[in-house]
Amino acid sequence: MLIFPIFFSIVVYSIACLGLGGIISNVISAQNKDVDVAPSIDTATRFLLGQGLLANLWVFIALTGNFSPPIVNGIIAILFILGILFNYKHTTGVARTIPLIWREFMNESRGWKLLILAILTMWLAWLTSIGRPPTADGTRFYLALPKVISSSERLKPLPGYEEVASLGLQGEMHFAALMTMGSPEATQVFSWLTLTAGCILLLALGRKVGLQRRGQWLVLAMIFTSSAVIELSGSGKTDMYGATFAFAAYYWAFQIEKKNQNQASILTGLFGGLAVVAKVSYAASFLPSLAVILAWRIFSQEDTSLKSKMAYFALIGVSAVFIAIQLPIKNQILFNNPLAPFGMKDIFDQVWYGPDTINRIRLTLPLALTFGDYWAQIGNLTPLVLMFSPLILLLPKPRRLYESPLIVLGIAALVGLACWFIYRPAVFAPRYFLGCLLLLVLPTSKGAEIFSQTDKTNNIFILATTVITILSMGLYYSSHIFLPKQTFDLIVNKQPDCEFDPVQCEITNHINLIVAPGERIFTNDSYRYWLRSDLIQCALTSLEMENYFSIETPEQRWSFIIGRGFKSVLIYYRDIPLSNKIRSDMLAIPDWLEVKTIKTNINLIFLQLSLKNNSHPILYECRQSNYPEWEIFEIQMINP
Amino acid sequence: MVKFVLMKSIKIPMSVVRLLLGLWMGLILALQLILYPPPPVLKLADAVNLREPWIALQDKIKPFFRTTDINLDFMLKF
Repeated sequence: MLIFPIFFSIVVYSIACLGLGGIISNVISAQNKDVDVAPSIDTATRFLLGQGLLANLWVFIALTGNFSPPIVNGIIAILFILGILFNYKHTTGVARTIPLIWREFMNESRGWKLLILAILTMWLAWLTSIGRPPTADGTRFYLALPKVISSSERLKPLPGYEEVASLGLQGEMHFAALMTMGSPEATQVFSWLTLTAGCILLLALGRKVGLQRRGQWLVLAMIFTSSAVIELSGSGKTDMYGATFAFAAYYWAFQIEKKNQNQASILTGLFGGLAVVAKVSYAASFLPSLAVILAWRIFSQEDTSLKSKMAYFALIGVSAVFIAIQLPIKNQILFNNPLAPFGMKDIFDQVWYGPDTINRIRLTLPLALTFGDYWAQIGNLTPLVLMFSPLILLLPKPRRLYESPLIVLGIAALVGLACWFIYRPAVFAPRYFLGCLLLLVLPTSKGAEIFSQTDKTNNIFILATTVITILSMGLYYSSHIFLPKQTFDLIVNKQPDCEFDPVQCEITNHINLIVAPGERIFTNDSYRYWLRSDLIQCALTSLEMENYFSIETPEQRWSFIIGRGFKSVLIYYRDIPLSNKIRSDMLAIPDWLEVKTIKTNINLIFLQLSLKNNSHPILYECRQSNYPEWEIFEIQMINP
Repeated sequence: MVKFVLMKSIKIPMSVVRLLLGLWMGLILALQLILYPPPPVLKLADAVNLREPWIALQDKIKPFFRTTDINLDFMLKF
């Protein structure tokens, strides 16, 4: 049964993250021993800090080609022991808060009890997406890259999607470590835990700006009814990591005050740096919103000199640079370009829509964010934000706007969004600015909380609307994201790899069985995660694809394919140039080549190639020069 | 009575506030249910023979939240 290795991996790995986070947290807070932070907040901070630092460590280890099971498991074991030593007190502290929350729950009205149960159900429903086939970018690279790192023990560009390795790698490195521990299914559970830790810090931020318990429950309701969050569960995508680090950075930015200035400033910088490393697009959205909060927080401290204020900013900046330094070092080693992904095509030059669509999105932004279904948008903000937005008029009116933390938060969120839509209006996907987008749930939750407290009818209003929205979202996604039966089948009965994605599996399993180790496959298959790791490492590269398209005749293209050492072709049927070219070239197979159709279904076709004579030399092959890594070499290099 | 405290104090009857709010929230919820209908709602629509009008209404509203004007060169890479 898979449940035991999943549970074991998650517990050990999470405690290891707490171990590393505990060490660093103790060092950072050494001067602020009298600062009291609630155990749950401290634990969430340590967990996120530890995993951020651990991902950096994995990057450096993988760059050297030493991401091997003994080293990875050894480090995890040491950190696990430290995790127990440094955090057992916090565990008891967290355990003590549970009876408090239970007592509050029992004292709530029936309506609020129902709402709380609905929210907790949506939170737990995330786990039922383990049985969901990873999709799109998840199988293309977010899971495929960790699979290659884990099996080759090295971080290197992924054939066909080389630019992805230039991005900041956070979630991907944890996926690789969990795969090395032997539990790829645990990757999605780890994402859920990370989201939970981020939610704890967002709730703490809510408490800090005046939300009471009911407002905090509404915050959770809004998070878990945002389809931009729901769609990430089980997909294999790692966008959630950026958002959770953003929540942590916002929380610690709000904590900056005289008694803990160093600790809070350092943590703000570390989490801010981690947020941008985890999702590079946050440089254009999250950073401006964080700058607003920091400027407000630091400059509103009247009893602090300007020199001290500048020192806070410097400390934040140094901390952010320290944690983000892995990015330029990694990219210098992999791409000879420390500023990558800047300068890499397709990463920053993205334009998804035409000008008319961009203008329409800009003009109808609140509706587009709530109901939009644009290409690659993949999710929306919860409709509850739009529903409750008039209620922000109930927020207490400060003498000056900047005296209200809630209003400052709202302004920070809007500044972040505005910066994104000025910089990249043609890229409309909430996951690119999720951290600052979800800040909007705080002022709207407070408005709804105030309204619910005015009288009984208004309370029922808020409750009914929220419960109906939760039910609606939960039931809508119960057909294709929340899949308890498939998840149960997967973790209890252990289906073979990718069996819960039968369309892909029919051909992929067959390929994995019959294709020789290191065989090169000419493929446009986005679902390459299911292929054996050696086949992924030996697959078609982006440069080869570019060269292929520059060739004019079918015979020359077949000659190119053979010359590059490809022995099979796996084409995913789509109306795209590569698929169309191969399919038309199949009508013009040269005399010297035999092309055999091995498998085909409505989505894929798998062909095997063999030469009838020696008229066309094979110039490249894929082999293990540096076990267990597979690389593509020119054959003449080994035959001088 | 409810005072809107972020603007000049305006006294508005609660019944009016509830009506306006109810209309607004109802509109948003209706849009959500039309565009992203949960299976039980679709079954209910089938049961009362409202499936086709529902789909017709979806087809009228969806184009406003979608586009066919996509950058194909970029899309084809994925």
